[in-house]
Amino acid sequence: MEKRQLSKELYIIAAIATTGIFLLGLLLGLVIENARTAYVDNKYLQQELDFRSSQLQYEYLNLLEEKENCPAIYETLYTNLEDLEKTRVRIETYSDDATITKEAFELLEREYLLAEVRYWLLANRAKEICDHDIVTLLSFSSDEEECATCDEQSFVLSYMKKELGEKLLIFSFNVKTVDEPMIAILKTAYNITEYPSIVVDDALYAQLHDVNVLMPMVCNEYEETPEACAAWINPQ
Amino acid sequence: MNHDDKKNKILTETPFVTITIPAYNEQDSLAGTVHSVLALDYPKEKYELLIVDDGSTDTTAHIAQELITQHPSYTIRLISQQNQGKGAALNNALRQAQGIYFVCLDADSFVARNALQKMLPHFTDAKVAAVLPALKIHNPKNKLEKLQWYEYIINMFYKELMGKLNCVHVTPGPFSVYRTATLREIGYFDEHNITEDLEIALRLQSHNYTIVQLMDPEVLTIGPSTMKELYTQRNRWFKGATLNVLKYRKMLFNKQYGDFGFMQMPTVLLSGVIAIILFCTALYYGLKPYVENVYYLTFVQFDFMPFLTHFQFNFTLMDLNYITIFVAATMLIISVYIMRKSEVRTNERLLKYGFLTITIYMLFYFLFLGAVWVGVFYDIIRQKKQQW
Repeated sequence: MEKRQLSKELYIIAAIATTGIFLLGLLLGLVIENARTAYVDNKYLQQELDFRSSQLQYEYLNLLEEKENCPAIYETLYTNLEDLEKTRVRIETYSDDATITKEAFELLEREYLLAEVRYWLLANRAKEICDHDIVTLLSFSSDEEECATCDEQSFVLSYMKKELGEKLLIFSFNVKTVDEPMIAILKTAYNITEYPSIVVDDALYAQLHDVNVLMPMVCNEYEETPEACAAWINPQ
Repeated sequence: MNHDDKKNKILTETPFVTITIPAYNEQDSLAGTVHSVLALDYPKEKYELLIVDDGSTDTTAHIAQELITQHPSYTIRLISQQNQGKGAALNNALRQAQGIYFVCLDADSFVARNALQKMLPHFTDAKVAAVLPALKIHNPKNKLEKLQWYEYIINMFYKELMGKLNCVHVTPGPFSVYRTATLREIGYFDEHNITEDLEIALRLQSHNYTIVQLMDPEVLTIGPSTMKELYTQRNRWFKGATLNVLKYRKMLFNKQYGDFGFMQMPTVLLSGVIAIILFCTALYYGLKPYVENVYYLTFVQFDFMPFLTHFQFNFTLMDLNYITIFVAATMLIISVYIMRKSEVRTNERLLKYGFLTITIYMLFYFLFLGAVWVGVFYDIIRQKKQQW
């Protein structure tokens, strides 16, 4: 049988062009991932300064007992914490996307996790000094393999945060992302064995809870009921 | 054969040609199709027109008879048969054909005056079994027809490229010109095939014949005007393509069939798989956030107001998913390049039907084709009998 033409040159050119596009994509990926790590690094430096400033402010308050400055300082803490959370979520996303600089993002995740712990400790101390009517909530989550309902829980907490604003401080710890001894200490302290788990002022709530459970539970912690709690609090 | 060779060929003799119009319930378009044939710039004594009425239940046969009466100076014959499908209609005509060349013309298509003048000179040697014109959508009115117009224009460019590699895998119904003797030699059209035009092309390729694709002349065809009609047409085409590639699987990755076996045959199969993957991926990532959010809202009693009233814009350029953007940008650049080349090669203006239409075509038409491919695979799995 007559043999037909096979355009090998064309296939080679196509293969070279495809490889070229793939390499271009890889290069672009490397550039963007590096830009992302630089951005988060820079953000971390800013937040580190913010934290030191907040810490100094509370030490000053503690020493001089000038409680009239508490609301302003609390607002700073709240803003810093919100900024920290946004960056933490962003790092988680970047880390998931990362293909080349994964390790760099894992280190950043660890730094931010420790920053959350530091802020949590500071918030607790501030609460004592200023006698501020706020609730602190610790949220322990893990990856999808270990925690199928963590995303749902996170959504409920976002809702509560939107509703209660600065009256509720949420500190999120993803136990799976980094191997951090501090997390092990917190897990032991609060007896965390499953995910999601929530700790509200030393009380542990394991597994997924919807807003009907969590809102009344948090609202009951306030000395003065916030407006957003009116619909949730038990009338008795 | 390069483009210039194709462009400069001039008809030096006028061989006898048989033009066949297989028609089933084509009362609305038959007269227009016949008139376009009668207007051909070709000596009328050098061609015959066979209208095969495939058991129409409307006035197709009556209209054909009237056309014969109105044009006594032309050789027009009406062949009537019980409804047996297009393949049988074509074979019926092929058995009676007097022409050296046999032309199939769907009854909803209209041929350019210079078609035979431009096409016949390309039967340069015995290996050339078929010559195909450029196919475009006739007078698109609604959005769906305009989308098909774009599809045909871009397809023409693709088919021209395939033609250069002798990889044309379908000889469409609208005015494909065949060498009559070759069709008879390879065993006529497959009467039981849902895409007899694709099957005959694959059979010609399996016999190592050449199919020439031209960009001039133009043949216009009426595109389906509703989604249902378009789905039915494409389902038949894609199913036919899949089943026929499997029928001629001996050519798949077979170097003896050159580029056709090594590249075009797998591409036909793979295009279906890729279309399904693209469709499912787009659907999954397009709908996932909405479905997820509705599901999450069940945990907060569907109270979405706090998310709206306390919405904060928290976005930097670096948050963009660069992998998706890179893939999308690469595809866009390639698409724009292909569209530009198609525009030039088909001598059309792609913005003819507005920026919106072309945008819809580029961004969403593939979803429709993907859905058709999903339907095709579903039908094949459950062995659904195909209606022509």
